[in-house]
Amino acid sequence: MTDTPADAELGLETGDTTPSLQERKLVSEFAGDKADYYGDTFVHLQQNRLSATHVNRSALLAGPFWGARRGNWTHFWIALLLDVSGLMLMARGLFADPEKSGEFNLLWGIAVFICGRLLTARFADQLYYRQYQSWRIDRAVNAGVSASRIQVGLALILALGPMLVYRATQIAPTLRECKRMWRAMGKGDEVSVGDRFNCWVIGEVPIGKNIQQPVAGGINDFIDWMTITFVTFFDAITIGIRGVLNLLELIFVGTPWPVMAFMLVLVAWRTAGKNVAIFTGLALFYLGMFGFWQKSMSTLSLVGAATLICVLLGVPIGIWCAKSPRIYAFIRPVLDIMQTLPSFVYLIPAIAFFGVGKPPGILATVIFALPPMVRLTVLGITQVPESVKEAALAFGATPRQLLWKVELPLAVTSIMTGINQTIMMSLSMVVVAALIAAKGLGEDVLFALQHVEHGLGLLAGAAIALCAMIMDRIVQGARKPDNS
Amino acid sequence: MGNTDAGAPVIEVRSVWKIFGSRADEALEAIRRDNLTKTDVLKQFGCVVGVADASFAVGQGEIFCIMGLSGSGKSTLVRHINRLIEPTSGEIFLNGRDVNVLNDEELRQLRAETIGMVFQNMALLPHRTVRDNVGFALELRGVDSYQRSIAADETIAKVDLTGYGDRYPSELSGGMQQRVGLARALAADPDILLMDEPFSALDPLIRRQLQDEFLALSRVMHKTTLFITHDLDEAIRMGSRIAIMKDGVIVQIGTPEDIVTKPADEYVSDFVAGISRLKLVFAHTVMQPLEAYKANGGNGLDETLCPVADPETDLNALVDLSVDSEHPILIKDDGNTVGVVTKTALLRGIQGEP
Repeated sequence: MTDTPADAELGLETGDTTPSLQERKLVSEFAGDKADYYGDTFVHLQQNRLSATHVNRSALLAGPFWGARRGNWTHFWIALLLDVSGLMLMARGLFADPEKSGEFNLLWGIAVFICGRLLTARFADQLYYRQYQSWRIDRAVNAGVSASRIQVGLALILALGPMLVYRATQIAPTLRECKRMWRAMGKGDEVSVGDRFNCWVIGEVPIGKNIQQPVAGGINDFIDWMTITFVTFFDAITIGIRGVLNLLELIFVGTPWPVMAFMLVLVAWRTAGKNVAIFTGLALFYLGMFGFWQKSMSTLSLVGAATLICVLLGVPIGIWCAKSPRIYAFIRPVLDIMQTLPSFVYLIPAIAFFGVGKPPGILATVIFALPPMVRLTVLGITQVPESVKEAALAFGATPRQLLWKVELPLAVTSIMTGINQTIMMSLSMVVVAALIAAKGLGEDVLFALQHVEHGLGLLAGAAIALCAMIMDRIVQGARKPDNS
Repeated sequence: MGNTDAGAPVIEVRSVWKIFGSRADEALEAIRRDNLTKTDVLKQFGCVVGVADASFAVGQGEIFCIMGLSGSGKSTLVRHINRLIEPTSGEIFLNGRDVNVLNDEELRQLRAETIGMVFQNMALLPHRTVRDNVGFALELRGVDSYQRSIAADETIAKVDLTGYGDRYPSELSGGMQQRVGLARALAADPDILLMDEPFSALDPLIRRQLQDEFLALSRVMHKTTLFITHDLDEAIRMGSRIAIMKDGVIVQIGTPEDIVTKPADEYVSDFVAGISRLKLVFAHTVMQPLEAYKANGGNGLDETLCPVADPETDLNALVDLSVDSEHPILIKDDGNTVGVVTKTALLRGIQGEP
């Protein structure tokens, strides 16, 4: 096949359904060798005619080397992972603890190895076809076959494989064993090379607790110092939170249950309609029947207090972040950390600075539930169309008027979503906060865990779920003002 | 349409430059010094030239169109008038007052009381009723809600939306929404209207209808209007004068007839090539002087048989006259014959070729 315009014209003018000569030529340019095989395979792939048992034989035999040679590193890494996993299992079966499930490991390893090869060979052509498509778009994508890539692949396999397989044959030494060995070495005793190698490479990273302990101690000292130095500050926060909480407890706990139940059903009916009102009634009936009423109300006041504080803090912070991308660039990673840290971790600073009880419980809840409030406020305000803001400015709006008359009203849906999320997160955290004596329904769950009371635990769990659903439905209903 | 050229201009723009980018001042200096092109500026300074040395003046009650394709800088230029965009250099005067020296409060007052603006995408506030949208500028100035709603209802009536005051914008059609946009701009009774492609997003029939209504309204209200459009037909329909922009530069300013008959360069002449000249070109442009006509062998002219028109008759009317007679048309100004329009000259005039 020569690259002449006549060829190209032939392909175009016949316009038949078989792939044109051009495409064939492109595949051969891409594949380097075995152009016919890949030309046919790609056509079959396009026609969905590839049989279910089709495997690429070279890939089956060569494993990761096929991927390396063809520059398909996806195939290379998957094949390498499966090969090495199989080999590790085989090595473990042969050398480590042979009496103990050795045969099983050996057979299992062989199975993983063979299945891995079959699997990667089965999908090698699909991967290769995808690579071909990327290559058609961008000629910088790997194409053809290359010996230097095989060398890279070999180097990677040699760097990783033996160490992993060796690790599978050994039992990792513990840190204590290694310390004993190092002490012996210090005394001048003879220690085998194998043991030394194992201690440096296979076990724990050979640093130990030398760094962890002093740093943790330093943090302890710092927290102690903070607690003493800023005692008025922390007390002020506690008083503030307690003030909010007392008000809400007066409403939820202080109201006689018939009044409260009536009010809740009424609110549900007015904001979210008849069905939610019926559901609320039934849920409240459950809470009352199983003796969770007081604790539910106490939980609701905790959640209410936490949510109120979240809104009071989160909305202004969100507005601030939306107005200043710089501040947001600083706040955003903080929010990320707040959302990723396990919720239990928040109990630590809460205890450290505020002791145990309801205010620190609420504080931990606020930290946990604040991020969605901030994020959704930012989202709501940044989503306000530029053109609407421009129009407001064109009619002489001050920055304050822009915020109150344009941005906040348009962001309100997003902010309401934020409140909803905050309520849900508060509820889940308030349960965890029972660990630091924040009372409420979480207390019953905690008691059930500690005393293996499965029944009580499940009933209390259901009560929490019902509280969440009541609040969620009411808030969701309030978001859509036209369905009452 | 009144005293277009008389008196001091209401809007005056003097050699305004707008260059976007962090090194705008450097770039402007370099442009002035070395005569750089747009591409050079982008390459050397990473700056984009939005408006280059634009100057024009708009008289009281005039509708001044700025016509250009997207990216030509017309929307950027109009935003300089109310300083939604600050110029890199140049001056803007509204009623003789320099806009660039106003402080924030003065600027807000100017925007709320002197200028009304209409936007291509309406930019209405979706959470407010039509009445509250229309009264928005007044609300920003602290007008109480009673007076606001009276003023808003009056303006709503002017744009033929009586009865829609309590609806939300999303309940109205596109054309009606833009009427609300127009009403919002008119509610504070500003001297100046800035209209940024107000009818571009509407379908052709509605667009036509709104153009007519706006012209009718404009004849009554007599607002000085800056009208941005990318549609030459619209510019010709609406504008008493037209500025044509290309790549940030004003290529030509003139009446619709000027633009069509004397395009300043190839770009403009390409643009006007497909435009019907019947209502844009007048007798004085296509006529030849009586002496020249006679000198070319037209001696056998019997003036009593010829139809007569004045120099301001458009080609459309001349065609009507010409169809009824075999003779050339005499053009008379105050009873004196000033020229002759032959059938050839008339046909060539319609074609746009000499």
